[in-house]
Amino acid sequence: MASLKDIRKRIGTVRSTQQITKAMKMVAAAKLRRAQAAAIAARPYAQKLDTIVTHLVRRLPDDVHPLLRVPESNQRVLLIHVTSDRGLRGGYNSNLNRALETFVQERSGLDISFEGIGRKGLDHLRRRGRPTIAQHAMPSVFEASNVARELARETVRRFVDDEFDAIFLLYSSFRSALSQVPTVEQLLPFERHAGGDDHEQTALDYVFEPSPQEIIGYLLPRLVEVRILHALLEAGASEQAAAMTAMDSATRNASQMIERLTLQMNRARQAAITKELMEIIGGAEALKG
Amino acid sequence: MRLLLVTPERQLLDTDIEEVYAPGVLGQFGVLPEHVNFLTALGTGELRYRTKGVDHYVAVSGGILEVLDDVVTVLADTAEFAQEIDVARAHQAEERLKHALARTAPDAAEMADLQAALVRAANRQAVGARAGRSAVAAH
Repeated sequence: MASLKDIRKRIGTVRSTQQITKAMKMVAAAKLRRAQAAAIAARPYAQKLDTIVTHLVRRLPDDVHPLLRVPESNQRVLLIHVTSDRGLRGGYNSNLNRALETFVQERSGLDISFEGIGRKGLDHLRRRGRPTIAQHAMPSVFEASNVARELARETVRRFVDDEFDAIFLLYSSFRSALSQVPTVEQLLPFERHAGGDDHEQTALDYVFEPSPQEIIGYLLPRLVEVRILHALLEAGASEQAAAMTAMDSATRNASQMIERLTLQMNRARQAAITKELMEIIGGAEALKG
Repeated sequence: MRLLLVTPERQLLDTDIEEVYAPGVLGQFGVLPEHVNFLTALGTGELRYRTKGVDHYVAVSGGILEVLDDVVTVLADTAEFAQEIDVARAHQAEERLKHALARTAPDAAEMADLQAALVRAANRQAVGARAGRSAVAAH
């Protein structure tokens, strides 16, 4: 049985670890609040832009803009993999990495390239021997829109220059503080929403200024950018939520461990007292004799 | 008539209005109720809307404006209410940009970006100066 001193020392260690996990949980909670607010605030713009582009694209020919080109094959695929730079996020990164492997398995026979955002995903790709064409750090909430702009510019260029036939995003979408779901989204080519002709008539009534071609030329790259921004913000919120949950359960586990060790310590102390008493009584008995 | 004003970062407005004036790429234009369905690109400038007889000002740059069945939707690249703008800081930003422009070679790649930034800084100042002034009197 461990000595009283050893147990005391272990309790001290666990307690200081618990202080750290508790602090990390609170930091994650504060960051989550900000990340969640940013992700939610960005939704109306993304939805509205999507609606307008969908209306517009349906009635324009494919050759009106290079981003609307329909690739002849679907052989060359680019997957943009969004993970976190830091660990201690519970299953957050491993869930995303597993989703990436599933994506690859489902498309065996295709030529898949990777672009990584976040160190954890890049480490995974390196371990699996999957080469990446570009690596980026996971941006903070404040950097997200600038990073999205840069990424969108590159992504649009890659598609327009015919480097890839299809470009996908893999990121964690934020459902709630307790649920983050790895999500695959097709970024390019644009998926034409089938059916739903209810708005066809109103769309035809539009007056354009300048021409529809010029407006679509502004809107399409913008839509790519907004979708990337959306993914980054969702990923950021998911990451903090996962960190918070992981640190919360670490803190709870530490409490349990402290409880158990305290019990052990009390037993050891009681045993030591009993032993001492026995010795004293034994000694007294011996003197009497 | 309803006005919805959003940027990629946030939603600024969703309110009933009487009229709105916006900076189109082809010039300033106004939208009154019963306007024909309309889609246009926006430049950098001042967006003015009137609600309950009071005018409000917003500095916008880039984006599009859609009128569809008496709902005006503005998707702006950037937008700030006049009262949110710190005019002194906008002025400093403009000065910094002017210096940067003076040091940049005329054929440099960032020239266009700098010039666009300068136009935005000047616009923010102009719109920021509207804040606090009696909106109806300015009309």
